[in-house]
Amino acid sequence: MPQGGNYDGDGKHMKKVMMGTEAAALAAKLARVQVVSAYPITPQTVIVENLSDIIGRSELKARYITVESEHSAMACCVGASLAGARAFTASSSHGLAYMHEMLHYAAGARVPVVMVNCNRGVGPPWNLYCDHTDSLAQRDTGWTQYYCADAQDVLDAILIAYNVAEQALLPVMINMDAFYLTHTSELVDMPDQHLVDDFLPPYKPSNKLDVDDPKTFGNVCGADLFASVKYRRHCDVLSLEKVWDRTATDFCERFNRLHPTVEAFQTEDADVCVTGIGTAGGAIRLAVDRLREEGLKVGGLRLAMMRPFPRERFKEAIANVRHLIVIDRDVSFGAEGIVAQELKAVLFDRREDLKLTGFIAGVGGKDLAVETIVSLVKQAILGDGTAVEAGSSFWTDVLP
Amino acid sequence: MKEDARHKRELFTPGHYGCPGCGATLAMRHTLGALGEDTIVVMPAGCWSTLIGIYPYSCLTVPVVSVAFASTAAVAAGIKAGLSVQGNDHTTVLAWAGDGGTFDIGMQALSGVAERNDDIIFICYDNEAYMNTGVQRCSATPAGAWTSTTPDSAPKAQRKKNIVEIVAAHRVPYAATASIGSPKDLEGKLKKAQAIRGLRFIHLFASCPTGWGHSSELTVEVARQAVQSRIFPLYEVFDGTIWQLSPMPEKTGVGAYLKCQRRFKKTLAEDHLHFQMQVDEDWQRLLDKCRPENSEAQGVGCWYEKSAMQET
Amino acid sequence: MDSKKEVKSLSDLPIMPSTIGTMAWNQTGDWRYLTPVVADKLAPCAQNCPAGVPVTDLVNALRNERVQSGSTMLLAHNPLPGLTSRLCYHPCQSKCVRRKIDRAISIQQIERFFADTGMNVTVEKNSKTDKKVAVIGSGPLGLSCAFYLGCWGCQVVVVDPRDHAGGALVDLSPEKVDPQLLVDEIRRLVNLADIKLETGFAVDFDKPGEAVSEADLVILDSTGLPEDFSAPGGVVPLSPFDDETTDSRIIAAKLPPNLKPFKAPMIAHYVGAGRLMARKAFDGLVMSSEQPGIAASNRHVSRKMVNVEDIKIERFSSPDTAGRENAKPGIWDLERARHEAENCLSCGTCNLCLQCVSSCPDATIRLDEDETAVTVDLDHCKGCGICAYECPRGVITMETVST
Repeated sequence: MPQGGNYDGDGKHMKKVMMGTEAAALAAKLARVQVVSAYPITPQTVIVENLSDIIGRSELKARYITVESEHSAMACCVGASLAGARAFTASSSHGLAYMHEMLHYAAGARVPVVMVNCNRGVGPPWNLYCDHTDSLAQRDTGWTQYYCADAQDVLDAILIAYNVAEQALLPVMINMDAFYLTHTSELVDMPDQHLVDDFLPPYKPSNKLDVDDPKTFGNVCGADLFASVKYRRHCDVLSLEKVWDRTATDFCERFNRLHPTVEAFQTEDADVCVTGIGTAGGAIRLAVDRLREEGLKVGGLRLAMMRPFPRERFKEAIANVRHLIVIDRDVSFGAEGIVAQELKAVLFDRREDLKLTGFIAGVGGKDLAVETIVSLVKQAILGDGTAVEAGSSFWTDVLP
Repeated sequence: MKEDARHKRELFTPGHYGCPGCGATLAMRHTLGALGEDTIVVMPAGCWSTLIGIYPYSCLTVPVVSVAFASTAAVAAGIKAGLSVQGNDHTTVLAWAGDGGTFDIGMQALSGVAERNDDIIFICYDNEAYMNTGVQRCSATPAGAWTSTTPDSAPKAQRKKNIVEIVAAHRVPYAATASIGSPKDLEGKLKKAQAIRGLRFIHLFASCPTGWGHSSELTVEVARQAVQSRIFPLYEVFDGTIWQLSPMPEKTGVGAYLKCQRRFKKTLAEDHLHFQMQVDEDWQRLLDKCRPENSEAQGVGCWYEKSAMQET
Repeated sequence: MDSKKEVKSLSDLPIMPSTIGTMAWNQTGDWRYLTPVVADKLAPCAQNCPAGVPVTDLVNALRNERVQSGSTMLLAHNPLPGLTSRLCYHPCQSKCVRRKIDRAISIQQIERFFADTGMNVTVEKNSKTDKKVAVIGSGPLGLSCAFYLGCWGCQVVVVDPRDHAGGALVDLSPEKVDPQLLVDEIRRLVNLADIKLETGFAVDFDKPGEAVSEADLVILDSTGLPEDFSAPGGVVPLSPFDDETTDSRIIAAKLPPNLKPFKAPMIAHYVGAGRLMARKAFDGLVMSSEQPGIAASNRHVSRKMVNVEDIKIERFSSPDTAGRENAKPGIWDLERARHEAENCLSCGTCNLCLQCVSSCPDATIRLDEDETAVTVDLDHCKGCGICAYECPRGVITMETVST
């Protein structure tokens, strides 16, 4: 539970020091989720532990189901959502992988479930620390994927996510880095419940499991209609970007905090831009400042959303950039870093004039320090560094 | 398909893709007939999710959700929780899975709902193989029965899993066997189950002319014979401790049952006595469990009335 | 049947993958190569009744407490049930399939119940036509013949040389039949059919008298008459049981010598013969193919006979021994009679037990809206045969039917 806190004076809201996972639990409470399914996996466990106490003490009117696996955790959420309730769960790494089938199902069933995923390495060998392969490997399922910068971002994004999900009828995954976010304490603004209620009304779907309006959900579909169903879902995921922007703008007007899908630092006049997702954004910003001090016209970019990919925003942000450096805390084995791969696809029409260097760094919890980022940028620009080439990517911190 | 206040409507309509003489469809007809229209059905991949109709049409007029294979029980628990938190505690949530989706891939989630005593009815309609995908063997297939993955050259050595014993071991308030050959018994058990809170499990025998190789007109007769020969005896288990036989006609030998099904051709020719012996042994074991002095509890406890989910 | 709601654009589909209609548009009847045919068949008891009484229908009417309609049905085949229920040797009972479980249904007692208590009916009659018929002889054959002709609209007079009507029945001992019962039964018949009865009238064909000379048709009940009996102009003998007809104005009803499997004619034979004779006579007189009023239902008794092997004895619940140990004759009340009726297996005759409806995997054999019969939805029936197999009384058969 949050350790300490102080009122900011006007009696309207309170700030508390808390970990990212505590912020997530608080967000679920503020969002008035109605069904929580819980299966433990490090480092998300704090979320479900907190929620069990919150619900146990009747601070939140919800049903809490301690399921026997992550696959069932998502199954319970899907069921609850189809019955018309707001559902929540959290997972990580292998748990996320285990529920892979159900991720496809939830997106196909068009249920507005919000799940927190704590990005953690996938084994074997087991690894408990920050790595983005787990969620990026799920990018084809149709879930919206948002990557948080800090604990405030976690709290706010969950609230925005429910609003967006219930408008679009699509599930949303809020990702946060293992231990850097899950277990790091920060000062977080706790929005007032009634302000949140105003922003996020109760979930009242018109299409649900209802004995007064019976339908069958999800039966066998022939070749005649399958493409159409998928096509519509694809279009709806693409449109979700605009829904997110609109909703995030509304959130900003109420709570005075921005949550853009692309966060750019000093890219307008940059030749070189270094980009990544998650908490690395903070180090990237500092690295950009450091490099600028050394006279290099470097900009930085944190991608908050990977699905739907914010193409126009992103392309606009790097319009003048000539060299894009991508830091992946993940890999698609046999290919390259997944973010690099995604960006290459988006930037295909700029392949003549834009160079892209991909690094695999900070995997399995290896710290992405400011110094590391600075040296990677220099290696990319000047060709001199310790990262090892393998295919199209350069790997740091590997044994010779 | 908006209705007015819930009035009696036909819950099961013709035009579905079930094989002629399908026992599983008969099972669903009887079940919905007893449970009524205030029911939501959760079904996984299997015969029913395919025969129900082609999207966007369905032969059932209660709400149905067709879910991933392993997830039936978990989705049902989620639906129940979702309804309950919205103030609806009267709608019956029915998890309706085949034997593959119960005994094999569905076992984990079933054990989960049984242990948590989630307030759903779970019915396994058992045609003793993965029929929808073409008659492959599962742990509900009897020893010696032909399937496409246990052909005559590689017969199934393992005996059928006793699913009711497994579920009863979770001390659920109600577990029972039932058969489409004994519809009145089934109806009574469904009504009884509907009045109990907590996890209720029914193992429902549903003959399959296509997969078992019997004439389509004998579907109900085969189910009757299964009960009569005690290959599939009818009984109930209360709180996992009190075992009670249901009324059944006098016990007969297994011959008639084996003879009319092509899947037992080899068993009939080579293994008949052994098969009969195993049935007799199992029957005796069941009889022993049904003796009053072997029951642990004296009466039904009330622990199952408390929901496994945290109340607000 | 629902018509298929077509999908032409994305807006026809809900956002969630949920359905918009039922599967009723899918005519699975195309799968079928055998069709269930629901048709009542003659039960062994009815097959063996010389009067052709549809025993199972009668018993089912009693089971459902439809006493009036049961009485009407009985009268449609037998206008002297008070007598038959005391005199007939009940060959129906000797074929009753229930014997294989415990004992035969007391069909005769049921008939007696209708006769004694259920006869406050008025039968539906046609208005009288100008056709006049004289029936000579008031034995059961003559009376039965006169009854039906009268109900169907003929002006009928029955004449008998003896002082008492009843033919050979008059000669039976009072222990066999109470003379008062005989009188009451005949009076009731006469009143119901609105016919005339003249006893003590010896017909002399040289001086026949008004009744006979004015008649369009004279029917002679030749039971008991000598072989060489004749009349001027000729009397044409006619067996009621075959298809032979004649134009003659004077006909004599004559039972065939061979009534296998029966050794000798019983009262039920005469009653049945009288009805069949009346039908031939009426068809000849009125030349109408429409069978009006009473007995309309038995015009084409073309039911097949049920196979006793098709009656699934083992499917019936254990013998209902309470109250069935002794079926002593005597006066039965409705409760007792209905209890007996409930034990009837209703061989070959649908009694709406609804086993077929309950066991259909496609819900395509259904109880009609008016709840009098089950019918098959041929658009959807897949022809699996379960209904035919599950029917414990042989009503449903699987047949190749050309559509």
